[in-house]
Amino acid sequence: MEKESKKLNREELLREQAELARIIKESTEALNEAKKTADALQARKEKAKAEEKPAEAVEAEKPAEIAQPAETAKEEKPIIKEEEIEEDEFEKAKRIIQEQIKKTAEEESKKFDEKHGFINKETEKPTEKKVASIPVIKTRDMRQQLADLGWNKEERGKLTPEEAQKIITEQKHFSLPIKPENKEEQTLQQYETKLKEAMKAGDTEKMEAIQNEIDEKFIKTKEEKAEPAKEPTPKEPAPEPAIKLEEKGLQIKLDDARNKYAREYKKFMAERKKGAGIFKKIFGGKVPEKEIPEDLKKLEQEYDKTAVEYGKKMYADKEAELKNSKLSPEKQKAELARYKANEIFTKIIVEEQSRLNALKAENLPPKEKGIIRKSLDWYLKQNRFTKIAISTALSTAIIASFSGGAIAAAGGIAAYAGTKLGRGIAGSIIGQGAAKAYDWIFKEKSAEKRKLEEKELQKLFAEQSFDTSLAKNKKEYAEILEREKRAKRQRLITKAAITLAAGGLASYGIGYEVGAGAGVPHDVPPEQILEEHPVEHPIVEQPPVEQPPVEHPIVEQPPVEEQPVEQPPAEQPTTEHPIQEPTFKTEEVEFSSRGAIQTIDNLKEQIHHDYPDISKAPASVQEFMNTDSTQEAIKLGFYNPDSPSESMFVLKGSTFSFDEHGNLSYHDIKTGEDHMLIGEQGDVEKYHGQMFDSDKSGIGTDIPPAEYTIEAEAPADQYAVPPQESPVGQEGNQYAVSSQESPVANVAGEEKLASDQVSSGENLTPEQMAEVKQTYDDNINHLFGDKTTFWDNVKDSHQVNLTADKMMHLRIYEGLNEDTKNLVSYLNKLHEVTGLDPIEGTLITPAETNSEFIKRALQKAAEMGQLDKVNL
Amino acid sequence: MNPIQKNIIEILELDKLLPEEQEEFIIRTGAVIYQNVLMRAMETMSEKDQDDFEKILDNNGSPQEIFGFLKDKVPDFEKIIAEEAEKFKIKTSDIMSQIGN
Repeated sequence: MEKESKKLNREELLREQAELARIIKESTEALNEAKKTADALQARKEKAKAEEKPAEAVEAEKPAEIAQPAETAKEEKPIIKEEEIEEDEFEKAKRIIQEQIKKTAEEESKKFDEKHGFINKETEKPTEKKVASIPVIKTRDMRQQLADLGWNKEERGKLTPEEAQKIITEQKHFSLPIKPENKEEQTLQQYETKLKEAMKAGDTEKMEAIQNEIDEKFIKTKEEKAEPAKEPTPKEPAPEPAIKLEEKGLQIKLDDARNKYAREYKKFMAERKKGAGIFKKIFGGKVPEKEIPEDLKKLEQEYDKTAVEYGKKMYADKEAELKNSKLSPEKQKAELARYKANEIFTKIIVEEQSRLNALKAENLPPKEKGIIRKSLDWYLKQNRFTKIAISTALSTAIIASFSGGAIAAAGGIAAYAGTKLGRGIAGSIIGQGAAKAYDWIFKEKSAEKRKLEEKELQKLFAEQSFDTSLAKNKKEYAEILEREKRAKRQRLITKAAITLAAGGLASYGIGYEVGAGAGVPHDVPPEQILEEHPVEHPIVEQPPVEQPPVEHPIVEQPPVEEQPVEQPPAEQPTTEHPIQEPTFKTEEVEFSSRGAIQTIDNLKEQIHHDYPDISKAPASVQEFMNTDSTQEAIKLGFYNPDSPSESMFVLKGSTFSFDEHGNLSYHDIKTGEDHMLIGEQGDVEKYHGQMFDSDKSGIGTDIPPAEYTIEAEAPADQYAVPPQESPVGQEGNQYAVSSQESPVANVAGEEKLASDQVSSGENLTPEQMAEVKQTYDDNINHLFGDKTTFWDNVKDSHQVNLTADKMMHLRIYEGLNEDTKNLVSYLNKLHEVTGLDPIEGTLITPAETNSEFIKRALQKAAEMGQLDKVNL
Repeated sequence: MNPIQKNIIEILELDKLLPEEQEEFIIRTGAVIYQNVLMRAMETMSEKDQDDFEKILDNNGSPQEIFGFLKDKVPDFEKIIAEEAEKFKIKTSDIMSQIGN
């Protein structure tokens, strides 16, 4: 054997390796080809499916394609398919290629054996040389040699005697370089195992000793490696192995710091509990700061410090990676910011908090642990919408505190949320969502009302999803889509990383390590665990909200593998709501310049004309026909008698219609969007678009205004819709709005804001805008004169205490400087006249600045015809 | 400005995230706060309340039932939420502000 082996010189081996590399390359290409084929198959399959479905179902399934410009949609298609492809298609392709690779490898191996006389070409049986070369067992000497080559015990155990012999012969005989990092990595794994065992046993001394060894060996190794790297070498060695080692070292340090802190925390809590008795109720479970021992505080600080260290390392690595990319500096910066907010935040905040909780839970009595486990199970069972609602409600306090709001001052969190609702100052969707979600979860109400609220919330949250309506041009649109794809991938990467971490540290799982239902790690965010263990949590799915597809063209459907339990749309209970035969056809009218009520009347008349026997129409149509038009206008949100801006505002050409299934909707000609108002099952989604004060009263009224006159200046292509009570055919009633009242069309996306916040100046004529600007300048001059320093400092400031909201609510006291007093008074005056509040900052949106609020309020005052009242 | 008091929006540049990523952020944040709140709530509940709570969980209660029960039975439940949210905010601001700035 030795004689034969000597024939294999190093060059020959390298040729063999090159050949193998070629085979692998070809196989990879083949795999890619197969993947493309699988993609094409999947696309065809989906197309075939789509053709079998009604048009609206297809539209709903392919929202991205509807809204995209044709070219972009085409470009995006393969990516979307990649995300959506069915597992079996992939698996099939993968299996075929793997079989091909295996077959090729076997053929190559056979050629090799034949070439070197290890196999008889005729009989295809091993020759004596081959048989003799295969050891029967792994001797102690072989095991030692393998260990010297960097193979750990576990890996050595998995090798067959033949494989072991081959490794020893080839690596040793030809003195092939053994990568030092391989050896270190193996050893580090052993250290990790030892350290975890010591942690489990609670052996502090042993843990410290192991940690010291790790520090000594690996941190030094890294430093030592860093030195020679500075020497000029033709090919600079990749620093990756050292980085990986450092990461591993950091992970161990983090685990260690967490465990030390958790152990001391548990001891402290156990001691405290012994003597606390009823006091824990007094404290509501919270530990007063002064009671926490200094040692425990130090351990927590140490833990946080290590987490920071870990986060910094992640950040630096990413920064280095991006520097080597082809991205522009701006894009690199943006990418780094996203990485920080996604991956780093998840790793060192979310994951660490979850792991820490799991450790803390070990202290709880078995019963409490069991309930906590069930509580987490319950959370896991909730669908995505409910999780968003709960998270948003629980984050209300964060939203408030992030923007510097004082919950206590508002009388608690509920009052805060209620206040936000009542005042309607939630300036962003999340802001509104927080208040509404809190209300939905905590406030007593009827099941019917709760269901309506739920629908409203679902719509609200759906609007938060990706929406290209704000994309100003095609390029921006494409960029957004690109970011979207990247974000998806990043999430998958994050998820994979967390899952791996969870898999390796399953014993940290909260509740599960002590409860009966072992097997599911709980040291990651519940929704991520859910994604990994869908079968263990049968889901009571809530029916999906009907969303007109064109309203939210790019609402993302989470990838199948990410949201396994939320994918299948619940079937409509056909027994309760039998599918209507399409005996009723679409009925549509244009919005009347005489008002919303007239428009409703017009639709009624048309339906009545086309379908004298209304009993055959869908239930929602019948109900519409039997409801008083004014009440209908109120129900649909077209008319709000309690608001100064009582009337709906739409452009001429917008339409109002029932489809054949009995869905009532309106089409906004400006945005090109359809908005569902009443579903076939009678569910109402009120109009939330722009309203205006049609009677210029500035106050709410119970009686719809009776008369309007048409003014010559009224723009011909647009009008608002006052809610006139106008029986069809009644003469003498002419309705329109003056040019002053005829706001220009709302811009796309603005309707996402609360209607009373919308005052972009778009509704004003150029003359009015000039007047607003003049008033703004005059007032600032009046307030601050030549002393502009103060105003310069506060006008555009986003600092927590200098935003418009904070300034407006500042208490005026004697010692307050004059400039501040003047500004506070002015902001309050604007509020009194216009009813507007400054927009508070939320978790994701900055608070409104003083200048922004003043401009908005002045514009509103101009719209109301009250500009003179805010002119100082 | 003290980094701890620095607005989380600035620290994490949340306004630059995609709406969907912002939503993910909220969900993750909420999941942690939910855990933290539960841990504290459990400590303050009487045995009987724990039994009742367990029954609601076993019956897969609605969010309103779950949170309604906690609000009724856990003293200062809303305060606990606010405190835990605040604690989370401080911890996040403290740690994240030291990274990459």
